[in-house]
Amino acid sequence: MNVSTLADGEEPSPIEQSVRSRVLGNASLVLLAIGFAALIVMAIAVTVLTERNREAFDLAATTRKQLSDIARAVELLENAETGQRGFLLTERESYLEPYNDATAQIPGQLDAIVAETSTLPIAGAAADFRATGTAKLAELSSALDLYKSDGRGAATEEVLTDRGKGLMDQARRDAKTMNAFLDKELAVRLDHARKTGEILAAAQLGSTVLVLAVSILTGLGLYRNVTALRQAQAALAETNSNLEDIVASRTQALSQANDEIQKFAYIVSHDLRAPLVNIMGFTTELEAAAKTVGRYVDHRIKASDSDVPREVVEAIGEDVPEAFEFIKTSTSKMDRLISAILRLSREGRRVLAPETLQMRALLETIADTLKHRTDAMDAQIVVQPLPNIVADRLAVEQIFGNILDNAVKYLSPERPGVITVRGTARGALAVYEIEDNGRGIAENDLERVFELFRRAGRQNTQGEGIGLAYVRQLIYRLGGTIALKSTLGQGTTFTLSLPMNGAKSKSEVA
Amino acid sequence: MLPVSIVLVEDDPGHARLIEKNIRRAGVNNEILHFENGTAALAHLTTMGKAPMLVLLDLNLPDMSGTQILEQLKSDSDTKHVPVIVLTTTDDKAEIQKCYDLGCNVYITKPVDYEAFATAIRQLGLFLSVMKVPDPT
Repeated sequence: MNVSTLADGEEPSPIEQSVRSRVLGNASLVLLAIGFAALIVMAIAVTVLTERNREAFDLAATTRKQLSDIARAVELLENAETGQRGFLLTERESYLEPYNDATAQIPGQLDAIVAETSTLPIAGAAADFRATGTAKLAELSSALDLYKSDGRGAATEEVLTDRGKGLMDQARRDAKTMNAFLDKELAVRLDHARKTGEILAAAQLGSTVLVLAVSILTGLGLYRNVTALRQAQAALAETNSNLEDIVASRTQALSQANDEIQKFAYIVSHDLRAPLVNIMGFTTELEAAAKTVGRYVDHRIKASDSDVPREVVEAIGEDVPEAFEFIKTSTSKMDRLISAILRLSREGRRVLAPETLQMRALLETIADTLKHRTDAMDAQIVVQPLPNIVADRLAVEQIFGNILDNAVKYLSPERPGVITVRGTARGALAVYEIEDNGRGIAENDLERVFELFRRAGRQNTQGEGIGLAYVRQLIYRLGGTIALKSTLGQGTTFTLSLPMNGAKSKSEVA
Repeated sequence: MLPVSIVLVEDDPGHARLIEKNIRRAGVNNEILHFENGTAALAHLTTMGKAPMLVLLDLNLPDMSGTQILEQLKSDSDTKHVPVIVLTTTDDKAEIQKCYDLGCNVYITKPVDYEAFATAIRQLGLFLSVMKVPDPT
């Protein structure tokens, strides 16, 4: 089975997607920020423009008031004149009423006009108007005085001088002068107010559009973020479920491959054993025969008529025993190696019995079995709290036993040895670390230490080079992994990941 | 009383020779019939009727498994009392159990170490010299 096909032609990973959507998110965030800044600027502009507009209208209203005040003053003067003339014509007191009303108001009205226009170019005209108005009032009053003192004829006489008419005309002219200016002023101010009003309306429309735009943008951004989030979640969920499938299928492939290797190893080691029995058997037979010959040669040498050639003596006395020694050492070694393979393959075929393991207690038991060695080396094994797992007890004991045994075996004589075992639970995995301050492994030997019959570093300790190969095989069988970090001369750390629930993963694979 | 013959079923001539040598060294002088494959051995065994014999059986044969021979011997009323000694390289517990379940009398793993091998065969020889083969009648 080609496991690599599972990795081919994949869609972008959820992580890549999330990175991409985060970039998009950043862009829309920038847009949003710009939108909000524009909104703030718009709000300030609208406020300022509203104020300007109000001021413009206030100014226009002032001018209007001045105009109406002047009109009112003229009206009052006319009322006063009408009342006075009516009285003189009819001699009825009731006709004096408008006169009396008007005369009471006119001085105040004229003063108000002067005050209102004091800063304007028509201040002079206003003063003239007041003077004319005051003179008019005096004229009307003097005619009435004449009526009272000299009778109607004298008063009529006074009116007929046209002095009063002249004053009234003068007042009207003064008013007209002021009105002409104020009308122009009003037109200018109204125009200004209209213009600021237009700008304000435009600004309000603009900010409304902007509010809408920002709202839509925010909505879109939110929608996109939520959508992206949902997609990412879906992708993650899918990846997770795919991952489980991939893990399951790869585990199955691995265990199949492993089974085949086990079978192969078993058959090969058996078939190798059979000839080895012959080699060892007949070597021993041959050795016995050679000894018989040797004894005969010895006997011949001792005889008086000894004619045994020196080569025969050497061959039978030195070469042959030496050859036997090498043959026997090599065949013994071969037997040990074959036995080791057999042991490995037998362990690989053993049915695992998962049970809950109290890992700290288990490790402490292993540490105790090594205590006589660690004590002798002034070393110690520190077992920290460890997560418990469900797994085959014998396998786990052999895994940790081999690693700890190795750690003790390869401690550095230069410093007191410290071997620390610690662990954490990471999701469905229990991760254990076995760290030592031993002699370490050179970088190019890191993978080699897991190979069968291979050993790394100085070969000053006993061993066939099986331990770690065996450990790795056991870990694979339990559905775990093993990795190692090491610095030559400083120490080694083995990291083991084992499924928390070995019973579950096993049944899933099967 | 007919002399007990020893039927040696062993495909490896070297092993057969070593076994024979060591049996003889133990002082056993019975006739040893050597067969190098299962077919020939079975053919001989089934024609022997109730002749007293003892079978030394290797499990890894070129044409069949030794357990098949064992099974056949133990299922035939004529031969089921024939003592069968399995002498093989396999030391697999399951295989050993299977042989005993099928009715093998002794199971010996061939040790690679020759001293151990010779000792095992010689002890087997002693065992053969004192064992009583069932009366064929």
